Amino acid sequence: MNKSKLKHEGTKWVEDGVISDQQLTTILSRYEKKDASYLLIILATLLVSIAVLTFVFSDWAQVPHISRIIVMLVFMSGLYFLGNYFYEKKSQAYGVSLLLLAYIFFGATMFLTLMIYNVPLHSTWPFAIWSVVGLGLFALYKHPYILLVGLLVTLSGQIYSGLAFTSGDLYILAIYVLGYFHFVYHYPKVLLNYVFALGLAIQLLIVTLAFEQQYYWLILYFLVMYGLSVVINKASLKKALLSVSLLSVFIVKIAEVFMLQEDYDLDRFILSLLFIVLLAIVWLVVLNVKWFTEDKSEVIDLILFVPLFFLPGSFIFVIISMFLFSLYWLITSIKYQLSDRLLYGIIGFLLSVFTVYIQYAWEAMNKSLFFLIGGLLLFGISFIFGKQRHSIEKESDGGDEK
Amino acid sequence: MKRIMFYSLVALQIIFVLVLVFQFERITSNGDEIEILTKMEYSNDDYYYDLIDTAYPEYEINDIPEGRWSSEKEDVSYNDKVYVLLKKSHDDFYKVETASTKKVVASGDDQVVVIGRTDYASNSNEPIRVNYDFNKIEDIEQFGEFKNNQTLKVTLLVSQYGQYKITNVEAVK
Repeated sequence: MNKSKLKHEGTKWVEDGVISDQQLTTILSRYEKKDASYLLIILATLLVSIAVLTFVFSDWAQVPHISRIIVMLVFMSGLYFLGNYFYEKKSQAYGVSLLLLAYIFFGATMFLTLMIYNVPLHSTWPFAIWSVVGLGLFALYKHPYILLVGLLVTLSGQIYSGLAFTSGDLYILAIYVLGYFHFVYHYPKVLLNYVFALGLAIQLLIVTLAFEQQYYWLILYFLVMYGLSVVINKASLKKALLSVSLLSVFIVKIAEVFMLQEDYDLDRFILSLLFIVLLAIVWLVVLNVKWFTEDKSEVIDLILFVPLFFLPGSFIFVIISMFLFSLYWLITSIKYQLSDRLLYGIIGFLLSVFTVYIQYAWEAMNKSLFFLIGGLLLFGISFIFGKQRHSIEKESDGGDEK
Repeated sequence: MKRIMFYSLVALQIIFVLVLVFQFERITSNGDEIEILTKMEYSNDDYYYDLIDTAYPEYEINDIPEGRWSSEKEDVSYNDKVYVLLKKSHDDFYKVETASTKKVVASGDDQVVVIGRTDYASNSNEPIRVNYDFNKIEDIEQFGEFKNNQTLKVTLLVSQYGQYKITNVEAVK
């Protein structure tokens, strides 16, 4: 509570006779002015921690001896205890930043240990441990930033697995889906939900690529994600999963348009019967649930999840499906003034136009001309739609005034 | 209650790291010692290793000859984890016995398993190149002065987790 603001308001209340002067004094005495020395302590801790971290990479510290690890552990514990103290007694915000610093220290200590003892990493187990500790830390303090950092650590583990070992780590994916999803579900906060959804999409991508699965499995995975968004009731998580799954499958479609024309990709294409069966089942289930429990008009989304690669001239059908989706939402949301779906329509339409442009104009025109015309085209389209939207709003405003 | 959880969480992290440290400290007593030979490097410029910070010697065991794969060679792609069984040869150096993408266990005192990663997918009949973490030697000058075109005998301790510790480097005439 800002004391000076309270005082300012309080004098007004006294003037209006809401409270007496004595009452104002009593109220004001309850609030101590915020002690700015907290900031100093935090800064001091930060500086010392950075000093320790940089020192750790010095020659002295690289000697494989337990003393170096002890120093790191002492600092980690110190930060934990300091963070806990601040969180309980002084200020949650400062406490959490110290706790997170300690959490980072834990990861750093693990990696330092591996480094100085020359232990090569052949899997991402330190990330898995780090991730689980993050879950424990969140269970203790329930502060959203802790969950955020935990999500990012887990995601980094998967990305590291993909980059360093060209493999996907299923344990990390399991921790993410079982552990973090549970917490994200129960502590809804928009940023967390979107980070979770994006992280999930990225992990699914890495796992698919790393295990050298055929690309179409991504369609199934994103369909499951879309299905999740249908059954979940928490508003912001629902929207996050919806947006991310639609965007992700749309990007897969764009890639698909070009892959279906490349001999290299077509040669390596193997159709899996299991995929077709699973996709059909999930697709029908999602269709049913969506049709009977939600807005029937949104069923058009499912057109993006239909496999079209078996059709002759398949890439054209993929482009058509992309346009159908985008145009449907553009027209429907302008007509019924659905603002969030309008965004899907616009982005979908722009991406579809771009895809067609790359498809047909890339070879024929000078590259710089392509960008110029592409940019002008986008301006033109957004201008037209903005104008249409404006005129519709104007109409409805005019109607309201009458 | 929350207090207990907090203390245990911190304690667990500390204990975990300490367990790691104790495991790794044991390599001097429990590790297997092997000696391997570097390949001759034919290059026009020779330099002393103390001019560069980190040495990257090439070993004989970096090449896995054609007949030494116990798993299918075609299954192997880039950056795959490979278990390489080394056997002590008559000249006391360890050479490649077999290599596989499946776990291999050493049987006998003269055998040791090391872990490497493949360098490229095999398209030809050339030996597949495998990289090891000990291809990188930091502070080689602690063992003496060497040039890059000398054949070196590298002694190192290896453990089952892939941990290694280089204990000596000598030039071989």
